[in-house]
Amino acid sequence: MREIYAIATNTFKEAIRNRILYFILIFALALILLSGVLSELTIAGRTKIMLDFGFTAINFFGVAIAVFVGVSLVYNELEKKSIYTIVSKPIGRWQFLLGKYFGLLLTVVVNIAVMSLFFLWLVHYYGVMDEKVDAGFLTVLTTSAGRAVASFFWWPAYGYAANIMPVVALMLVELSIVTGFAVLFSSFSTPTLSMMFTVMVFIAGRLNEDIVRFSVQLHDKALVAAQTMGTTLEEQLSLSYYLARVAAYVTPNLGVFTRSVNQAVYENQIQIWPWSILYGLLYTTAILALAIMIFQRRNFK
Amino acid sequence: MIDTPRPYGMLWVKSAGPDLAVDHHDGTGFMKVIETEKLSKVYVRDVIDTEYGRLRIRFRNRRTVALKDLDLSVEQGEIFGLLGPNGAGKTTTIKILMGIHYATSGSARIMGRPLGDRQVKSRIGFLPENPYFYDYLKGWEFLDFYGQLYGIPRARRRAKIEELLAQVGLSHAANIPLRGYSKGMNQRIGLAQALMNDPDVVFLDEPQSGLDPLGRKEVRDIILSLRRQGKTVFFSSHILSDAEMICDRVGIVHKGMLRSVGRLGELLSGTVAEWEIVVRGVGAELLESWRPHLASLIQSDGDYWAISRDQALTDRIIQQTVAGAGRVVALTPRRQSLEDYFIHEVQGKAQ
Amino acid sequence: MNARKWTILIAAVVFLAAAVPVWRLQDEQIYQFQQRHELYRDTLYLPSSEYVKAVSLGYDHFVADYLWLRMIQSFAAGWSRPENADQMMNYLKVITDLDPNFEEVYSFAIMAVGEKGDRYDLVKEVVETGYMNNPSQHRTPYEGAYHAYWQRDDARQAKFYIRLALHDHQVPDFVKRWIPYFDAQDGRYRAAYEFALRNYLTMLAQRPERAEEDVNLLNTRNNLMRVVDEWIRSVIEPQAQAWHERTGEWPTVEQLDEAGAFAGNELPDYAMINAVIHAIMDGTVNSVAPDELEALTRNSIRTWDRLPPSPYAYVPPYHQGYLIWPDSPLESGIVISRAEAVNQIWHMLNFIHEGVRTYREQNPSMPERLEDFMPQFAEMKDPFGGSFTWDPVQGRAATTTFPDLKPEDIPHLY
Repeated sequence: MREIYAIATNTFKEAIRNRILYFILIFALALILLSGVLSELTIAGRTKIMLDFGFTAINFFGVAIAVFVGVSLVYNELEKKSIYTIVSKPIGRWQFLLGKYFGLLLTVVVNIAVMSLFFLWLVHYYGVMDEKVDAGFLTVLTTSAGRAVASFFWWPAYGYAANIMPVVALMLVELSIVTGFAVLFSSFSTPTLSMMFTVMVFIAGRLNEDIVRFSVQLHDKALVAAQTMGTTLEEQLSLSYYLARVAAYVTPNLGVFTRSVNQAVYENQIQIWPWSILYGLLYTTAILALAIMIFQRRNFK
Repeated sequence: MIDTPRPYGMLWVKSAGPDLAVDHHDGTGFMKVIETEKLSKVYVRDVIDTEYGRLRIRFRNRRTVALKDLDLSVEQGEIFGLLGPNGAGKTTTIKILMGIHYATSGSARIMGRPLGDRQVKSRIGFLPENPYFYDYLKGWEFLDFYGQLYGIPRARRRAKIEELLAQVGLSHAANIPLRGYSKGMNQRIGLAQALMNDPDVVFLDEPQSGLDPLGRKEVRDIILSLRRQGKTVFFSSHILSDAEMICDRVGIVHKGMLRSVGRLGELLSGTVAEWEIVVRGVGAELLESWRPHLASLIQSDGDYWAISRDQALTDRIIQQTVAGAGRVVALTPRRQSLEDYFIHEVQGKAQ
Repeated sequence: MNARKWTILIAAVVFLAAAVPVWRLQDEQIYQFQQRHELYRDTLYLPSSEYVKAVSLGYDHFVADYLWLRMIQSFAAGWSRPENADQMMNYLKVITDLDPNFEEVYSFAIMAVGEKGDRYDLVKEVVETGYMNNPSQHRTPYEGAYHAYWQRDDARQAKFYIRLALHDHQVPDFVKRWIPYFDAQDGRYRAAYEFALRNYLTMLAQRPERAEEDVNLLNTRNNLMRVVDEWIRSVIEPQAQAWHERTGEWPTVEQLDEAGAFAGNELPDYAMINAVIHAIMDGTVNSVAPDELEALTRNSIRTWDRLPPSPYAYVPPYHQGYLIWPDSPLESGIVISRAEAVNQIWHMLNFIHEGVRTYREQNPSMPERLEDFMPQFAEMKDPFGGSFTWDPVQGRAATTTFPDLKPEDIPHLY
């Protein structure tokens, strides 16, 4: 634990002393600020547009931080050979990798926290919520945080302002998976490649449900073909069906974590499906275990 | 500073038991701190061969033997230098010992324990070749990080950092980020991190490469002070003069094989091989009488520079010079140097 | 000056030398782009929604909002024309597929493809999509009904949409009130009346503390009265027309009644309903049970020999009943209630006074005669048969029927 903590804090230090992080953060805050401005442009659905833009900015730049900062962290240690000194210390490689992961996750969490606090403040400033509008920002913050915690115990959270935190909390679960992939890929690949891989996994994960839909379509087609031609179903199933099926099971279903945005915007009430959190955590665990397996066997350059 | 050798340090590392010190005594009075047995490393690289003429692409394994059947043993309290030209397998040996690479075959033990043992790792220090360190960290943060990895309590860490910074002469740079360090400072802070846990064995990979003469002297002084503290130092180098000055024993590797190993005095013949004599004001007939016996005789600026390989001849030259009102400007006995030996070994074995 | 400074200086000069023409060219390009007529047609082209959804990567809401913001700008800039209707529809479909619950888009779509694009079929498609995506929201079908009735004069379709809107449990009362309205417009007075009465009595039974101040309750009652009003007028009007065709003269309502023109008509007994309402209001009857309500609704409609009293029981007796206005500027022989007729006169007098103000801006003195500034009123008869008069000394217009009409004399019908 102590070793993981040391590596994680060091990783966090590296990340927050990296200039790229601040560029990303500034862009994110600018887009969040834009959500307020744009919401004044529309002729209808002001609240919705503000919430949508804010959530998108937080999520997108959270992913950007996980990818851009994440992929280089492990690789840098290998490339610049600082890993040599780490490995010679009384610390397992798995501890190193977990430390890296948690350091990166901490970076993501802190950034998401900064962004969502800013967003919450903005929402409060624009008065876009059904809470008592004259309530102070701290009151709103406390309520929102409290309901975020409550919503994790399947307690519905009501109100726009209160909904921001639960949505952000689910985003964090999603980002923990993306971060896990960033660490996994960067443990055996170059930053450019890992970045591409991580982004691809993210895209595939977001499209997971579409992949399932596609495979079902192929299955239905095959079924019709089998009936008209009088053959078995297996003969008609194409290779792409099996590939789609494998992809559907291998890629993370990130759609689970984005559904809450719709709830927050329209139903004014959020109920987090508890299994989705468990799913996210288990998926992350599996990815990290895989990363450790690869990393443990590696010869460093 | 403690000047008496301590077998295995002060044990604040929780897991290190006293058994380590006992089971490694081989009964000869020396402890084998590092032992390797038929250590081999073969690098396998996947390369893609393309034969465009026939439009064929195939994968092939390219095998490089980096280390072959290395048997080494290093005893407690000595400075052991692993020498050899670039690419000889020095760094590979250290990487295997440090667990950075895994050996293809063979085995190695540090302090009697197999590689990768946590207890052992907590009692060794390591400085890699051309180290890059976290350049966003300040000097003290950097050492603090490694202290944390060793699990040293905070208060102890702080004291140790101060002590080490003073030892490597970086107290003034404690609050400067590492990216502001010169190469020499980097090497010294690297040494400090290797000593963070007060190790019993220190592994240094090319500790002096890339440093200016002053920097090399500083590193040399630190290594010597480590020996005074009773620590075992295992280092690799291709700079022989440095090794010559500080090593107790050396091993010479070339093309992945250990060519020879032993105390410096044993490797190099202890006798003087030749004398370099510089004389002035000597008569021509006298010079002519010496010339047939000398290895070489050169005149420069009225001085005569002679190399003799015979003790009696040397004595005679000095006697006759002094008797003939000439002056002996310099007399330098030249032993066989490590460099001579090394070149002899490498070339000899190669032929 | 050393070499380094020279380099910087030269670079700066080169930058300026390049940047100024670039700026100028950019300006030219923007100008030409703005001149192009198909500005929005070109830029608003989108592939079909499946592809957009695939590339939006779960940021569906964001993309939908972005397209929405773009769309409202370009629509405002005159892109919404009939020839663009199909393309508009595609654009709207992309947005609603990305974010099916974005209700404002449907409302906007109805306006865009219906009103501006002039395509009723597309409006129907929008309303159906909107209803299927949000079956428990009243807004889209309500807007659809509004469009169907006001733009297309299709009361039947409008009523169908209102029925869809009623699937929203929290539908506001004004939406419910449209049902009898459309029924009445469609000639289905009995259905309209029954719905409006049931609606009102149910509401009255659950009335809040201060029922007389409740706007919803008031509106619902007005709605009921409107239906009754329309129903009675719909009975009078054909009789008046027939009389006019037969004799060439416009009769009075009393003449028709005495001639027995209204015998055998089914009309609501508003006096009876009023009694029930007052009983509920006074607390004599606490509420009406559903089956009683059903019976009451049915029994309050009966066959009459003469014209029943007007529903506006609370206005002064003089204003009760109906009259036929031969000289109506809208349509000759229009049937209106007397109370409404007084209202009309008041509006007309106001109109004349407006005319005086305009006249005074161009002339130094007051007009002498009505013909000087409002010639159309000089000839016209008011609903009661009186003529309009103008008093230049006091600067007041009046009619011979009401020489001294004051605001407090105006019956507030609704």
